[in-house]
Amino acid sequence: MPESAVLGVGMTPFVRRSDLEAPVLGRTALVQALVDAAVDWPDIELVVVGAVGLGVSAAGQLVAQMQRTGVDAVAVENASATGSAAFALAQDAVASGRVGLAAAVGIGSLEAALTATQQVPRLDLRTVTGAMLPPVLFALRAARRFHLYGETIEDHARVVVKNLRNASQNDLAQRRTPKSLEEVLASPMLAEPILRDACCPLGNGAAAVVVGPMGARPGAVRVLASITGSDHWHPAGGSHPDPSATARVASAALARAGIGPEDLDVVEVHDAFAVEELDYCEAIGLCGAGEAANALAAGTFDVGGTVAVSPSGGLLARGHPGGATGLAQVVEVTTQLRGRAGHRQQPGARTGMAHMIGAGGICTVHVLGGD
Amino acid sequence: MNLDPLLHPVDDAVVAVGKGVVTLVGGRCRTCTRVHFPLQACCPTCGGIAEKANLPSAGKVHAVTVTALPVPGAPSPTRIAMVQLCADVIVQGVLQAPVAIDDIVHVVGREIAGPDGPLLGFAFAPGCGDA
Repeated sequence: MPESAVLGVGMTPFVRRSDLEAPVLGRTALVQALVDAAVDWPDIELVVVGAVGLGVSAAGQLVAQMQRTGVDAVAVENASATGSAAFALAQDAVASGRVGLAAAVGIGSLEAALTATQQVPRLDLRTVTGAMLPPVLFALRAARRFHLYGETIEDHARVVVKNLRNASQNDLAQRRTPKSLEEVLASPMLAEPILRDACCPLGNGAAAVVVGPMGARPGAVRVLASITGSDHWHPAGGSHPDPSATARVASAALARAGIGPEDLDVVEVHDAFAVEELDYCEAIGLCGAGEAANALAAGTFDVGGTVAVSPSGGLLARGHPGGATGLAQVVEVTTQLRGRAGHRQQPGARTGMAHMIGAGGICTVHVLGGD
Repeated sequence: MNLDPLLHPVDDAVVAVGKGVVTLVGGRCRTCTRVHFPLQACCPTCGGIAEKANLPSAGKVHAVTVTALPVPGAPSPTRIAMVQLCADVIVQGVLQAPVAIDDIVHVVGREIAGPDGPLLGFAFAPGCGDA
């Protein structure tokens, strides 16, 4: 069975608003990835489109932007982990030997999806308890961490400071202006203790990856593991995601890759809220439970630290345009492992992880390794 | 609280048991006996047959926040808590008054303005109530 590898990557800038339709953005990213991989579009045997908020026929809409080759095309949707699901299916098709070359394209904005779901106001158990408000869910998670570990709002704001600093070195990031701790703390409070700056922005953009068999291609980055899992039920399962999902899925992915968390040089996590980065660093095993805030403050997760966490700026600063986000993580990890990340390059990066959570209870983890 | 006991509940999980008094209804698995909330088609842990089960009326605050984001039928800013009502169940709901983590709160009814008239919902109030 062939090993799969990332052969090429492409990505548009992530922006608050775009004049371009999502399929056009997708085409732009896909063409970049094809050029980067030195692969011609007619050679692609499968394209998996991760689309959020585009309605029906997202794969057809993307393919219609390209030369009509009759390519096998399919669309997937897994909430925030949509791009991750597209990559998982594309790499699986290659790793299984079903196709020789596949592409994964992530398009569609989170805002479009949220607008679509909120057009019909409704009163139900979730809306009247605030459980449909993500800042509330993560404020409650942050408050619990404060109680358990003695963390403060400053500890969580440092996640934002780090990720904005990383994004300031990323031309494709949505939030590129670094802020001091004091500036982050001055941002409006959405739900105590969640500050607006501690939430990812809504935006638009696209990312794409070409996947093929691992060979002698220069710049190819091996896919060491691709694992997806869904939530187990837990006491707050009626309103909150499973807090154990990341630990289970990341552990399985690391085992599949044959490495431990200490071997990771670069990790892109689902940091839609600052508190999530702390949670997931611990769940992945980058530090012990309750230790993430101190590790972050000590520089462990900085570019140049023990393991660079969200060197792209993460969802908080690079941005989170729905379908593109999971693939943007793969783009960043690949760029890091190729040593082409410029001022945000993690020195000597050889192994990286991309981690996403999809609302409704999906967790996807990819582990990539350079040579 | 002066609630109309005939108000239609916002969800089947909220059941009026007296004037202004509500109970939350979850499920208990006939096989593994675990309790869950809200009631699912089958036990979300083992897949066994689930039957209705009233939850305890009071519990301990697990986490708390306050937000100006809009929560239907609640005053702004809105205080919201996660409350551990039993070993298997933590329920999120609106708070009627400030509390801290580990405080005891109890379930009370609250009226929620709906498009076709008021609905019966629930909230948490400090103390153990009549439990």
